[in-house]
Amino acid sequence: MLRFATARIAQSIITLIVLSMVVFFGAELTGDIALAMATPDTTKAELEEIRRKFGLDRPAYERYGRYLFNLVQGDLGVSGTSRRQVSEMMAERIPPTLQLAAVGLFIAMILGIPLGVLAAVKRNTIFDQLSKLLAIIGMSAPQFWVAIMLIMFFGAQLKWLPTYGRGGIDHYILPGIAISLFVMAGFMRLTRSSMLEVLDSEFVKFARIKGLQERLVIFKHALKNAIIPVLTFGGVSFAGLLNGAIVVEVVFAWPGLGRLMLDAIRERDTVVIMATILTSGFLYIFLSTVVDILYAYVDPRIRYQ
Amino acid sequence: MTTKFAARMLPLPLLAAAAALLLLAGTACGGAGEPAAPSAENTAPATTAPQTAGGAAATAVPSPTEAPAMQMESGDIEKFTVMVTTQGNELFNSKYAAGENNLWHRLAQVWLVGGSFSEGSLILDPETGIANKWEIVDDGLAWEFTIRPGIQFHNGEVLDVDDIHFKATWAISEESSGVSTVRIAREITNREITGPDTYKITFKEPLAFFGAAVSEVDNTAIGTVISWDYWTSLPLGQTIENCTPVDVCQQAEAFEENPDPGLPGPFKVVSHRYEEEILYERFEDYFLRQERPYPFSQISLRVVPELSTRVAALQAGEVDIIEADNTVVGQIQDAGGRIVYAPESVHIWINANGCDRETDNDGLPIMCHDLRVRQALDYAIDKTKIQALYGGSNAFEIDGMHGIGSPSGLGFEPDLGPLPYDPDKAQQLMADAGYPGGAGFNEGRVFPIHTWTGAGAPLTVELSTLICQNWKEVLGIDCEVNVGEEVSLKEVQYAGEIAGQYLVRTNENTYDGGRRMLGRYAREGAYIAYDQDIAAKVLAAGAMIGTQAERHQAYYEALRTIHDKHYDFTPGFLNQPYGVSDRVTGWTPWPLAPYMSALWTVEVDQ
Repeated sequence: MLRFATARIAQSIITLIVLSMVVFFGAELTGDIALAMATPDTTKAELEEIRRKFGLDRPAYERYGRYLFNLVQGDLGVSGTSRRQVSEMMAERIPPTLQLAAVGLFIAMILGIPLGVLAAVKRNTIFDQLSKLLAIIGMSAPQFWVAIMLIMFFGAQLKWLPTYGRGGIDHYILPGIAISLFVMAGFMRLTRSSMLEVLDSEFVKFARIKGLQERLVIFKHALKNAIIPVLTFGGVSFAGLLNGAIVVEVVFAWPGLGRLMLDAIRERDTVVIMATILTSGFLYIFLSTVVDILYAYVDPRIRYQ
Repeated sequence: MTTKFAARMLPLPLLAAAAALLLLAGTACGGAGEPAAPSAENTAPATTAPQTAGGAAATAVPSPTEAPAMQMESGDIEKFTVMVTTQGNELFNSKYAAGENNLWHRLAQVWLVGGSFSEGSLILDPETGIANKWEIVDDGLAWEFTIRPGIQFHNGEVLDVDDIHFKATWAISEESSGVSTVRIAREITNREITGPDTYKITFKEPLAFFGAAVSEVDNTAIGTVISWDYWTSLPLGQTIENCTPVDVCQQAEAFEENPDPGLPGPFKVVSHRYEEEILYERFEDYFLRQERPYPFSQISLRVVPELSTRVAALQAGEVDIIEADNTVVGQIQDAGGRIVYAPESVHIWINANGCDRETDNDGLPIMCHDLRVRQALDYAIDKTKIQALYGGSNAFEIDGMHGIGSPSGLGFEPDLGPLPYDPDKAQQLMADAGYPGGAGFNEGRVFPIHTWTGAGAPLTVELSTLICQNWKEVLGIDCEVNVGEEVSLKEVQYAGEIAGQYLVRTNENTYDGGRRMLGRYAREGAYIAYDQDIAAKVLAAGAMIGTQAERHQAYYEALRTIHDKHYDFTPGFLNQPYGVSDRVTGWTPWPLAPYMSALWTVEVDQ
């Protein structure tokens, strides 16, 4: 088990290093960052000076090496635009994103799992068809469109909920729904198929033959077994929600990591771009690794493969 | 462990992990509520012995800011909310501040030279700035400012010449963020306190536009002032990279954490969440409190990038003014809102590259080297179609001069506007240049128009396509639009790789185009064009020491020469639309301001 966990963590570290290289050199390929800071009448000499001021006159590999060296010491650098410590900016932005992702996951689970169970139990009925339709909408409706529609209807027309920003619990509802739809559809379909498989199994038939109440058969015996892959999906989905929040954060003016990333890309703030992508990557890899290790802990077949 | 056992055990750790994640996000990250206003302890500066500009110990130690009771006046509303798409870097220290959409500064700062707008004109106004008098002395080489008595910072300290000296030495320096500020700093030879309330800055050469550069009518924050005493009282924080000297830079960060006590503007900063919200509270001792009666005790400045969200917030009654664009004008009006246009905020610039050169990097002739071609290209553009594209005459005016001159700016006169649409004249000029019906133009090669999209560049692709169609139909030019990415296009532009080609872009307008004229046309090696005739006029205008009328005339002559040479041109400028809620009954924004200006003119219905 220890060997498996060590190997998995080592893999994660290598992945993070590769990610940092891809992001850094990818940013280099997009052009001269100094030009983003130039005004239309900036002279060539002034451009050179901007490069010198921000260390852009040094070779890319040297700057990358220095960045990595600082990174392992916990120094994410200073934003070229706001001149603030990036670690400070990340500390401000990670909590709102985590909160939004958690609310999204919560909504997706409390709606997706029961609807999936219902669809499986009432197979080929109107409930099953409706849940299928809901899943298709959840999977295919663009997040951007859904978010705008929610704002327009519940915010602008009905005036029930705030249209933007972070605040009390009411501020979480619309962005939470917008971010959860895709994952909720996943929960619904996965729960349905997993439940159908379990409901067809011998031990469920035996439970029914024993005369157990249908409620007990479904929730105590069937769901308990069917939920395993669903919860695994939940772990990975949470990581996905963290990274997939960009659109929702922009539309709802939510001050999270995704919006910071987008702003940094627009302003060519390479240091912040690097930090946001690496943080997102780290969160994703961390959560995936935790899920893998937990899975291996309870299922020895995984760790012996 | 058997599979059956695993099946029974598996949900437990996964459920625990999911619950832990929810707990982590919901509780460990802190509440999601609005942050509390800073307490008196937080706003109290440390009592480190401050040094004066001259190095002697200062006598005044800033006292802790006490939270004053909000004063409501009859007809005032408590909280006013405005929304912008984006703004600059939100730093209150003008040395590092960047961005011309700088409303966050306008609410908390006062400029060295004031401005005002009356009878259709912007002027530098001795009644509305820190300086109540300024003179150009020492044969035009120096600017001497007399500081108005009694201006207070938010901590109650009185603004004096030490603060101006600090500003002039620390913020206008080679280490400043802005290229314009660095250029000015390099021209300065001496900064000195010449009396108890007078301050003089001397330059290598006469710098006639300096007054405008440090004024409220300029789009930058170069002219803002922060308290030296407050600054020196701050505890040292972490060092800002690329900033020297280190001991002063260390204080820059501490200042940004709590800038308010050291600012003198109409509003105090109550809370600041970067790129989210800055909440201000009216400063009752603001020296222009009577003249600029902001009718609200608090103002919330929100950054909301998505236009649809801003419009929805306006419809929901959550906001008073939003940055809009012409695509949502009807939607706002249908929902009961109104549109207010800020005149001359953005200009369209058909930017010629390297037209002073005869051949491009491939050794082929550059078409726009010929004045007749340049004029023909302008005459061939149907400006009314562009006006229709942008939503009519409220939104777009066929006037102005690509960011160096504008109807409300210095030196502009009506004869400097865009050339009228005249296909016959355009064709005749092209024929005279040797390309009748476009035959032989550009050696038979495609003639590209480059452009980019993005925030602040509305409809540039559609605009470029329209211009291209005009050039095809009227002049027979084989034209095509190349939509690129801003930095990549700038790269080829600066490298001279698109010499002889045009770039269609937008940019903020400005009151005093002197710096821009110098940068674009009076520097040898400039990528746009270097022209001796223009350079002579521009340099003369830049050095013109005289009355406002004399400066206007000198600028007019420079602009006239630029217009005659016609390297760059414009079809007109955009008026920025703002959506306002039904409780805003009046507002007169200033021209040439790419931010929500003159909010003191807002009138509200309770």
